[in-house]
Amino acid sequence: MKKFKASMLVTAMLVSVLSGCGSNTGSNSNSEEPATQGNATNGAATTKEETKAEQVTIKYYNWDNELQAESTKKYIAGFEAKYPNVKVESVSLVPGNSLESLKKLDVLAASGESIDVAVLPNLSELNKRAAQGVLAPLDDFFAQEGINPADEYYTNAKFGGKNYGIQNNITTNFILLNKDALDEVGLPVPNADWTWDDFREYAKKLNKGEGTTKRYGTYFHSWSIYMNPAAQVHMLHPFLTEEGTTNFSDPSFTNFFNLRRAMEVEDKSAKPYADVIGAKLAYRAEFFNEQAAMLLAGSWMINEVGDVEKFPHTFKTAFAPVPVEKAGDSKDIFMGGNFLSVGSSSKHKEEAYQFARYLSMDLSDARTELPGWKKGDAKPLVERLIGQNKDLYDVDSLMYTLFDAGINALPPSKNDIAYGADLEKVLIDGFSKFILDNQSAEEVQKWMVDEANKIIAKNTAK
Amino acid sequence: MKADHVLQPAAMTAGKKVKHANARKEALVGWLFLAPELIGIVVLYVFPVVFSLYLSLSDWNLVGGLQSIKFVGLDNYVEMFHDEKVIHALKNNFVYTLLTVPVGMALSLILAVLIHTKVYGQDYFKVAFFVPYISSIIAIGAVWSALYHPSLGPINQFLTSIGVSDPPKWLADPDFALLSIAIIAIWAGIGYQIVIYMAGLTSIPDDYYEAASIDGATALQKFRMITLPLLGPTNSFLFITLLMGSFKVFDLIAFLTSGGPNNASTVIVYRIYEEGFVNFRMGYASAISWLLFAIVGVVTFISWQIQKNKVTY
Repeated sequence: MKKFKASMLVTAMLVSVLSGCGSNTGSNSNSEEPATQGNATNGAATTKEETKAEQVTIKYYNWDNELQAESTKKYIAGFEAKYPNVKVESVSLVPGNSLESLKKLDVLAASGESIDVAVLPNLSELNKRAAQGVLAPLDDFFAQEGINPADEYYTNAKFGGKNYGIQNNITTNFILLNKDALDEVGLPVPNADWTWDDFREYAKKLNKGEGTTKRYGTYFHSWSIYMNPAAQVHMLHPFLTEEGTTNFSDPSFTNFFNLRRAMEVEDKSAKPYADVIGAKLAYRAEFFNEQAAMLLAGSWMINEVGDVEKFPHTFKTAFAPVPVEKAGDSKDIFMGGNFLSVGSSSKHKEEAYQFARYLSMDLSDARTELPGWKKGDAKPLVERLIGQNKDLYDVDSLMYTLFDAGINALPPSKNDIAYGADLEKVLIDGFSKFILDNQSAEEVQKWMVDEANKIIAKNTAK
Repeated sequence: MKADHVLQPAAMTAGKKVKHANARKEALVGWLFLAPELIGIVVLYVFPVVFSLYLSLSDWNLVGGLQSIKFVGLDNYVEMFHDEKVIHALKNNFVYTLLTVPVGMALSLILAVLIHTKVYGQDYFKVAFFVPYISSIIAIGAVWSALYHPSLGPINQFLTSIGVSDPPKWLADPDFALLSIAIIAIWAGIGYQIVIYMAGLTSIPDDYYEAASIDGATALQKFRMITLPLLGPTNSFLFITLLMGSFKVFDLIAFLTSGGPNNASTVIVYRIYEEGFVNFRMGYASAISWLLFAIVGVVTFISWQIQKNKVTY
C-alpha cells in the first residue's frame, strides 16, 4: 500500500505538471487579448461599438535585417497611428535571409500557427504556397475597398484567377557601370537601345590588366538570370510561353549561351563560370572592388552604391537599362518584387489586409525600396536613397533608367505555375553542361526542352 | 509516516493474494520510474520512425499542414526505382563510398604503422593529423574551396606550372566534383582513424614481433602475418563506421557544391533534403530515407558477418 500510495503521488504530480502547463498557456493567451475575453463574457449583450474598438494583434512575418527592421518599425508606427485598434508585431524569422525564412514560415504554417501577414520574395514562391492553400485570396478585400489591383500595382500575384498578394517593393533589373572606367576608355553611358552585342563590345573595351588585379569587362553571377537575361527580363514568364509550353526552345537561349562562351574564352571579358561557382564569388564584391566594370543587377543595389562603409569604393556608378536582343525589340521589362500575403489561417484577415495595403502605399521616410504601387511619385524616394553620397552616382542615368527611358512593366503572365524552381534547375544544369562540359548550345537546348517537357507533363497531368 | 506504520502490518497479514497484488504494484512503480526515459525514447525515436514509415506510404506536402497527408500505398517506392535522379544519386554515393572507405582506411593504416614504429615526433604527428578532425567541417570546406579555386587556386597554379595545360576545375567540374569532396573527407577523417589504429597497434604485444625477428621475418612479413590479422576488430569497426558515414555525407556537399554542378555531387542524403525541404515532398523523401536505411542496414549486416568469421587471434 505504501508503494501504491507513492505511485499515486507520482501520477498525481505528473498530472499536475501537465495541467500546470495547460493553465499557463491559457492565462497567457488571455492576457494577450483582454478585449476578446471581455466580449466573450458579455455574450449577446455586446454592442457594435464595442466590437469596433476591439483590440487585435496581428503578426507580420519577414526577414528584416537590422536596417530593414528600423524601417519596419516606422511603417508600423505609422500604421498603428492610423488604425489605433490594431497592434502589429513584426517577426523577423531569419534576419537577412529570405529563403531560410521561408523554410521557417512553412514549418510555422504546417504546425498550425496562424499567419496574418507574410512577405514572399517572388511570384514563384508565392504561387507555390497559394497552391498549398496557405494563403488567403484578397479579391473580396479589393472589391470592398473598390479598387482594381491592376490599376494599383505593377505586378499582380494571380494564382488560379485569384489575387494572393500585394506588391510591396519592385525589383527591376538594370546594368550598373563603372563610370570612371567608361570615361577612361572614352565610352558614353549607353541608352535604352543598346543590344547584347553592344554590351559585348563594351566589355571587351573595358578589360584592363592581367592576373589577380585584372579588371574584367563584366561579371556573370551563378543565378539563372545570367544564363539568359532576355528570358527573365524581357519575356512575360522566365520559363514558359503564354501557351504554357517551355520557352527553352527560344533562340535567345542558344544566342546567350554562345555569347557567354565567347566572352569567357575569346574576349576574356568575364570571369569563367567555373571560378564563379568553384570559388563562390560574390557579385557585389566583384563590382565594388573593380574586378568587373559592368554588372547586371537591379534596383536593390541603388542604396548600396552609396553605402561606402559596407562597400568601400571611390568610383562613380552609372546606370543603363538591360540591353535588348536586337535593335528595335520591345524594351518593356518584367518587374518582380516582394509581395505581402495574408495567411489563410489568420483570424484577423481584414486587419491583415489593411496593414499590407498600408505598407504598400507608404512612401514616407520609412521606405527604402522602390514601391510596387504605381500611383505614387517615387522620384523623391530615389533622391532620398541616394542621400549624402551624390558624387558616387551618375544621377541622370539613374533617373533615366528608372523613369524616363520609356520602359514599361510587362503585363503579368497568364502562367501561374508552382514548379518554376524545377524548370530553373533544368536551365542551370543545362548551362553547366554547356559551359563546363563543352557541349554545343544546340545539343544542350534539345536536352533542356526534353527535360522541361517532362516536368510540365508531370505537373499538368494531375 | 504514521500512516505507513498502520498500513504495513495490515498488508503483511493479508497473505498470498496481497503478495500477488504487491508484485503488480511493484511492476507499476517500476514502469513509472522508467517512464521519463521511455517517454523520451518513444517521442524522440520510435514515433518519428513509425511516422516516417507511414509518410513514405503517403503523399504529403510539408507546407500544406497535417491535413494534407494522403495515403498512396507503395507509389513512392515504385516511383523511386524509376527516378533517374535517385538512381544517379545512388550511383554517386557508391562511387563516393568506394573512394573514401578503402583509401581512407589504407592511408590511415600506413600512417599509423609509420608513426607507431618510427618513434621520432610521434606525438607531433598524432596531433598534426588529428587537428582537421576537431576543426569545423565548414571551416575546412572554406579553406579547401580556396585551394581548389579553378584559375587562381594553389593546386591549379602548381599543376599549370609543371605543365598541365588543362587542369581539372575541381569543385566546378562535373567530372571532378565528387572526387574533390572525397579528398576533403578523407583528409578530414584520417586523424581519427589513425588514433583508433594506434590504439589497436599498442595492444599487440611486442613478443610476437621479437619471435618473428628471431625466425628471420622481414618487416613486410611481420606486417602481413602479425599486424594485419591482429587489427581485425579495429578494421571491422572502422570499416562499418566509415561505411555508414559515407552514406550519410551531406554537410560538405551542401556547403561546397549544393549537389552540383549538373548533379555531379548529388548523393542520396542530399536528394532526400532536396525532395523534402526544397520540393516539399515529405512522403517521397521519407521513402528514399527508408531506401537509405535498407542499404546501410544490409551492407553493415553483411560486413559484420564476414568480419565475425574472419577475425582470428
